[in-house]
Amino acid sequence: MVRLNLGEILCHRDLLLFFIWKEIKVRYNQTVLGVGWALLQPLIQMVIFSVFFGRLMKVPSQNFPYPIFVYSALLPWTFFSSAMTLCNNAVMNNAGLIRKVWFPRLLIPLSAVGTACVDFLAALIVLFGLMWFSGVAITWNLLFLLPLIVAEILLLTGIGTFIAGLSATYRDFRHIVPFGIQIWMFLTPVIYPASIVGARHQWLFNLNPMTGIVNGFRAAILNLPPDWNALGFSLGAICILLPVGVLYFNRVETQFADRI
Amino acid sequence: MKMPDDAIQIFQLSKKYPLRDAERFDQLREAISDWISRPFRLVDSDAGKNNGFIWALKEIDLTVRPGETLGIIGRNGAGKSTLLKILSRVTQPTEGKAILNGSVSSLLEVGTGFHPDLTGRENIYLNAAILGMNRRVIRERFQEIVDFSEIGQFLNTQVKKYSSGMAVRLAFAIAAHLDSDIMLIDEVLAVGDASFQRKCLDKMESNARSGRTILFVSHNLPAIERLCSRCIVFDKGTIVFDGKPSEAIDFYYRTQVPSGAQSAFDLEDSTRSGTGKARFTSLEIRSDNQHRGNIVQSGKRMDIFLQVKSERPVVNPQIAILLKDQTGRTLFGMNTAEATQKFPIIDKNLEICCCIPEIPLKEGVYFIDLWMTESNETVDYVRYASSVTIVPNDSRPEASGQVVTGYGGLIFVKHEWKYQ
Repeated sequence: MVRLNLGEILCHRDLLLFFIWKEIKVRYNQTVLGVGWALLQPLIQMVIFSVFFGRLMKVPSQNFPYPIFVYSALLPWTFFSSAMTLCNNAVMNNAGLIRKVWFPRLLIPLSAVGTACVDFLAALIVLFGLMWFSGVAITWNLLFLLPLIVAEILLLTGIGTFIAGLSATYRDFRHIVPFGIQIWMFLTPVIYPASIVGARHQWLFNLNPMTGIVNGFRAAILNLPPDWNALGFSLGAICILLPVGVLYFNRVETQFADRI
Repeated sequence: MKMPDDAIQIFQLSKKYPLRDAERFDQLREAISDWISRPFRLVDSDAGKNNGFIWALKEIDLTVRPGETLGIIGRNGAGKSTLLKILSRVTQPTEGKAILNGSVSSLLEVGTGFHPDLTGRENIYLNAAILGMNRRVIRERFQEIVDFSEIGQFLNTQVKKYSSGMAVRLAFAIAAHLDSDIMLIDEVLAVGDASFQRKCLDKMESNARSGRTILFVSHNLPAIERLCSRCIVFDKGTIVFDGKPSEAIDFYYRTQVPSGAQSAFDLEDSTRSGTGKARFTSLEIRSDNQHRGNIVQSGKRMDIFLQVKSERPVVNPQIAILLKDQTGRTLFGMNTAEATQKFPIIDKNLEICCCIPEIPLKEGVYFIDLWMTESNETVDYVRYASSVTIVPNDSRPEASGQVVTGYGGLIFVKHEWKYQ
């Protein structure tokens, strides 16, 4: 029986916030830098990518400085990869709770996406500093980020709930996900521009729902014309993946307490 | 006159668990091969498959009235906790259904949902939210919870630095301030100091009076008798008695099959620590009375049988059995190092018996820890491996069998009164 009780989730919205808050709090507890790590992590990643792909391999960056070029895409990508990693382990990490207390299980992947979202917001602050530093103009085009963020959250919820359900049901899946994320990154125009792929294969490339999102972020930040085609594919993917993921999770969720 | 609806209605409720092979379908490979071979398979011999299952609950029917305090007793594995898990929606029944009228909250185990790295204050918010309170309600009751828990100055200390007693107090304080109509309580008073236990019982009593329905699973039979208006006895997944608490407890004692019957307690799934070179796999308490299970008469013989499974040889082993009271304090321990005979190398599975000719404990529930060490390194340590219930001795020459509770202490000393 597949039954989705949205009212119950609404009733427990405070718990969702507490779960996210707990994750953040515990993660940066007893570290010297504290939440500073949330700001530092995307920066460090940007530096590494800039040195290897920008400087050493001379990956084209559409005439923008490579650091801001790669950061504009790393921003949505890191959100994606950290949300997926958190969702992948979410059910097992909460096994003790799941075995003992009932609460809407959907809150588990939702709070994983929410936790990744907090880090994403920190990285967003870094973006503005970086734009100023790189001399990239701050334009009204940036407002386009708002609907993109909403779209990405919906996409992550769809894929995240699906992955959370799969990894809790089939243990092997937990070990596959990290590789999947790595491969996925190279299939997404993060470290290289989307234009690198020929026009003939563009549609195949666009089937990846993250292509539209990442391209959209880059276009909004670097004031480029948006790629409506890829974005259309992403929105279509959201319409399919969100209900599929949530319903799948809801179906397997009833077995968690007996399985894990 | 229209009677109010029942608080809980249970119809033909059953739950089965796979005996072994629990992880079979956790393997992706298995699921895929199962899926591929499905169309090619002939009608499956389902009958054979059923042998691999155990019915934790079998066709339970039960109705609980609003405001009732229902005690649930039974031996380990009789199905008490499974029932509570189904009622709290943690797990789903295999067959049948349970209807609950009203909000439900459960206090299943101490500190579930506590995060050790968070402070007491933070944990109050987190735990209360997990149990179903929203922010506004938590804020309203916060001070009351803090006062009840008596943690006072430790409010802003990380919970990992709390003693187990403090953690229990905090956990119970939160649960006791829930507003739910139905409350499920699974053996929470097992730890905690005596005065706080009393306070909890009083709080529960006032909860019960305020019209809240309470289901209370416990091995603490005196507490059941004091608190409950009705009590059911579970055995092998069915309800074998339903009635007044005093009669239920009587029934529970009486229906224990004579000793020698299988009453070993499986330790495979217990939480444990240590290197794991060898492990305690089962614990069985035998006594020379008519009771079985972990019930022993005060002052009678109590034999503790342990099965040890060897993974790798343990060269210089020491085994200890510790008996603790309900507050978690060790009353006494028996250590093989104190024995005259040196304990052999553990390089195969073996059975050990620790025989206590006269158990020097008074009526009550006690807990047993098992501990195996190899030259000061812990090999296997099972905390709360089992509980043992000491019941009054009907033939004790020194005493009438009557126990002075509250003031009499826990240790029974062999003695004799003489007066002119």
